[in-house]
Amino acid sequence: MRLDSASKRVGVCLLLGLSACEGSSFLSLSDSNRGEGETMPAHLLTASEYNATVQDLLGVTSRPADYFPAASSSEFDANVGVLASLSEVQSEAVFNAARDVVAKAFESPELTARLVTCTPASDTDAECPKSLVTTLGRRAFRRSLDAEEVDAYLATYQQARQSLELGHVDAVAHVLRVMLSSPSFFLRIERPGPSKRELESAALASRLSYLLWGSMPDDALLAIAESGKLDEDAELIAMTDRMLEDPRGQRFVSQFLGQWLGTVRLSSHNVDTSRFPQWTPEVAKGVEAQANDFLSGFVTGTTPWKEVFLAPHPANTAVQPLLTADPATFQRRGFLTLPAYLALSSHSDRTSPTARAKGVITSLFCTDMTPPPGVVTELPPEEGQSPRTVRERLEAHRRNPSCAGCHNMLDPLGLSLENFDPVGRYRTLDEGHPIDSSGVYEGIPIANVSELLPLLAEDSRLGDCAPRKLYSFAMRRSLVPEDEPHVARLAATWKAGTLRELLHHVVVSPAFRGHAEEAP
Amino acid sequence: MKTSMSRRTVLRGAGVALFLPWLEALAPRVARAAAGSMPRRLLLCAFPNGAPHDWWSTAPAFGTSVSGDAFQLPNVLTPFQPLKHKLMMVSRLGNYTWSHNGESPSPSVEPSHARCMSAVTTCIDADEVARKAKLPLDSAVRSTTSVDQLIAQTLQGQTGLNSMQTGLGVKPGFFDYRSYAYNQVLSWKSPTEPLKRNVNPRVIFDALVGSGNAQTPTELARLKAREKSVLDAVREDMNRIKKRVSSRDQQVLDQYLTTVRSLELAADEVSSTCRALPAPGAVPEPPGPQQGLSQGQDGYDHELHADVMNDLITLAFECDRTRVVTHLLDDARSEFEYRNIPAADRTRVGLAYNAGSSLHYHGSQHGEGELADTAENGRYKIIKPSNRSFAAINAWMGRKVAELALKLDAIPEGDGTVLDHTTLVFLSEMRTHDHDAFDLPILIVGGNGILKQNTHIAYDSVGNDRQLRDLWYTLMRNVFGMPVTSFGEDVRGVANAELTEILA
Repeated sequence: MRLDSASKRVGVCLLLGLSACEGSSFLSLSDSNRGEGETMPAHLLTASEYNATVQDLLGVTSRPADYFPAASSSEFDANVGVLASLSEVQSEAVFNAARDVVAKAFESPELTARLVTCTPASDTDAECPKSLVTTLGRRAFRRSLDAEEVDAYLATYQQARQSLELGHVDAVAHVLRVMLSSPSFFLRIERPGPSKRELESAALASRLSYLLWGSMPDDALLAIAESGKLDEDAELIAMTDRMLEDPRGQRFVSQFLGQWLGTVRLSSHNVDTSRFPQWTPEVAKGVEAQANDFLSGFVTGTTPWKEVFLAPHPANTAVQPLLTADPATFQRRGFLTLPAYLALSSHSDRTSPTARAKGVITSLFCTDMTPPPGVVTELPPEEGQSPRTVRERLEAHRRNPSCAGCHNMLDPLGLSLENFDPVGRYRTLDEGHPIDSSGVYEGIPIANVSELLPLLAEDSRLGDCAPRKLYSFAMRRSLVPEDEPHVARLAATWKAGTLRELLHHVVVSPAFRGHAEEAP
Repeated sequence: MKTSMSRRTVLRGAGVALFLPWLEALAPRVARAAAGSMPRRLLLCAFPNGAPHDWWSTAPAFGTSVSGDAFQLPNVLTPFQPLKHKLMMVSRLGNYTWSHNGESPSPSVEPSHARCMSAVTTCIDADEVARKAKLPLDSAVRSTTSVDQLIAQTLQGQTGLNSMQTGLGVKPGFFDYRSYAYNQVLSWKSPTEPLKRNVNPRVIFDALVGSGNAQTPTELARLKAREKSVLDAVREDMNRIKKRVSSRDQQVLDQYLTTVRSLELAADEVSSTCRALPAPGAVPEPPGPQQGLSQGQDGYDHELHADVMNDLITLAFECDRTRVVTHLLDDARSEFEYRNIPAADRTRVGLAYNAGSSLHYHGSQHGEGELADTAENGRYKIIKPSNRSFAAINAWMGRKVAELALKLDAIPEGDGTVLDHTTLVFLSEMRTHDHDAFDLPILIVGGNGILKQNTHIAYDSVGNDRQLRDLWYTLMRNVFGMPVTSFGEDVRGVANAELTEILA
């Protein structure tokens, strides 16, 4: 009999001791913002958002935020939690980046022409500077400027012309630098709307564009939002679809799925190429491209999420060198047998059955595997003269009662994938020993991974987990107990359909729109 | 998700600084010396993951010390040989009495990497701070003001930069049930303000020289006027925004305002840079866990990265741009593979060359090696010697810090050198393979004549050991003349007491 996800998680917590439940999903942040009918706390653009925003705003592709002090979040880069303060190094980094990217844009006559779209007819012509301040300011701040802001930036322009003796173009660059040094640019600040109940209408455009494009809204999206029309179910859904069709929609796949499932790490994944020379730069690129194609199918294609363990792999000739040893009778399918997953979940020179299994249980099933304090979470070094197989070492681990709780769940899954080496090639021997990939999963005996995948696909946690992840990504924070009814409702309506459908449910939800919601 | 273009230029053009003469820098230092106020600097170089057993191979018995010719450096530290008369090894200090887990504090702290690193400069339990603030342990980033920042506070206004945080961690590890920020931070400006190590030499360089590229006084004046105009406008902008946002968001804005004000100060100081230095190349900050750079990736060279950072730290002290630097040699539990280590370091510790072997730092920490917590002949018993990969990585880190110390020692200051007027503490947040927080490897160079030199001091074995919080307490009071009455925490209620044995 299968337990539902909530009671299963509680089970794990009891098994591991209460400290296992001290994670964010069980602690209420009483003084924090729920994001419901309210503004999100001010937060920094993530590095990738900053880079993309600068690119979309100025046309500069220098990726300045790659050099910012990185924030460390446990899952999504945006979920660093409430920004309690801006550290000195962060502040300096954004301040200096504003100077550098504006300078870079104005080095290029082409980009300059795109930004400085008018020249004042005379020294007293205030129209041209004003239109530049209004247009550039609206894009940079992702909302129309307040009247006093227009006046202030105009004054900055005039001061640049007069006191600093700058020409028109340099003065515009000066104003842009001030704008990019403003928290209204590098932070996402949501201001309450006039009714107090909701957020400013432009804020919804940013919520949508940073969710789907990882970047600023364009003029059209901002216009619809400011008109108030975006805040309607049909328009939100249609807009979501239009934005996913746009090439920028690919950023949703790379940011949301890439961070959730770890494929963002592929480009810097270490492989010991002295042992696995097949992992050439071309193969590595192919592996990454294949994984992205596979995952895109759930967003822009029609593959429902319940197929994630069983969907066929997109063909990719660059990956072929890793597939040559596949038995004729064996058909690779699903996320777990992608070379991308098999490599990412391995060390550079050896596989890690526990990491492979933990990836499934924690990422795809959202089951907490935090070990209680004092439990060693890594395999002891190999001892003695004859190397023991990973299976033997894991069995020793499982005899320890404090390890058994987790490993009884993890090992069958991880060991069934032992037929794949650290770069995802099929193998039948490990260190010269025949591989035994059989096991018992949830009471059902399995002979190999092909028998395991259909069992995993039936697991109800699969359909419950994705809504948690997407909701957390969209709201840019870890879930709190008050979110549970919302994510449960999302899961119930979505029924593990496509991720595009899940996006529809999320964007029309009152929480995402910043609407206050009546108690459930 | 591809970050690439910029990475191809990683560090290109760096290293030129090495060949510049140091001469013109002498003037301000000589002036200081004449005024009779010799600077007192702190340079804290921390390495993560503990040391191989080699570190203690020449240690005296518990509770004793050894000095002069009888004091020998272990193989991993031989690059310090030219400075042996200026340094002291301090062994058998613990840093665990702050741990709130269990009945009495135990040196086995879990999760070890995050919690031990967060305590190395604070000597308190970050978990306990988070618990008291009702924050979830797996995402909270809280601690207390660190020792370097307490020292920096007393030097406020004396140099253009109050303190500097550098590091070499280009490949962070993964989530260990705590915020990874703990693994990347040595300096805490306040309980809520971790100053994360900066790995990018370009950013450090910009901070050191300001916008000081002006060639003439007129240019400098124009530059300053322009900077002032930007800063004024940003300040006004911020005051406008603050009126429209929640009190929660106002706090964040205040933080930015504070930094902008300090930038204003720095803009006024641009002309005080003591010598020209070509800008080094950039090293991108790793975008996320398990992402970043590997040796050789897009031309990245870890050795060169370390050299450039050493140059910048040297410049910072030489030009008196700051007197407090924390330098984190790698992030705790990093994913970096030290394939850059040259043959000389490998052979020094007897690592047989194995082409393509990964030299994964955390992996080798978990490799062979076991040190008991029970004594044998006045030392901890070695049950199984440390694997040579782990020793080679430690030997490499030791050499880079020794090279930095030698650079500082090459700059005369008063009747000594810049190194003499620096307290360089080279240490780790944990012991060795066991990830425990006792028996920390510690080496101290310089110390303004206040600290013992050419000595190895060993305290008592675990249980009767002294604590790191007393080392920081002793240094603050004696070297930096601070009237502190306590530092760090001891849940047993033991008060701070000076480590008088380390004083000259």
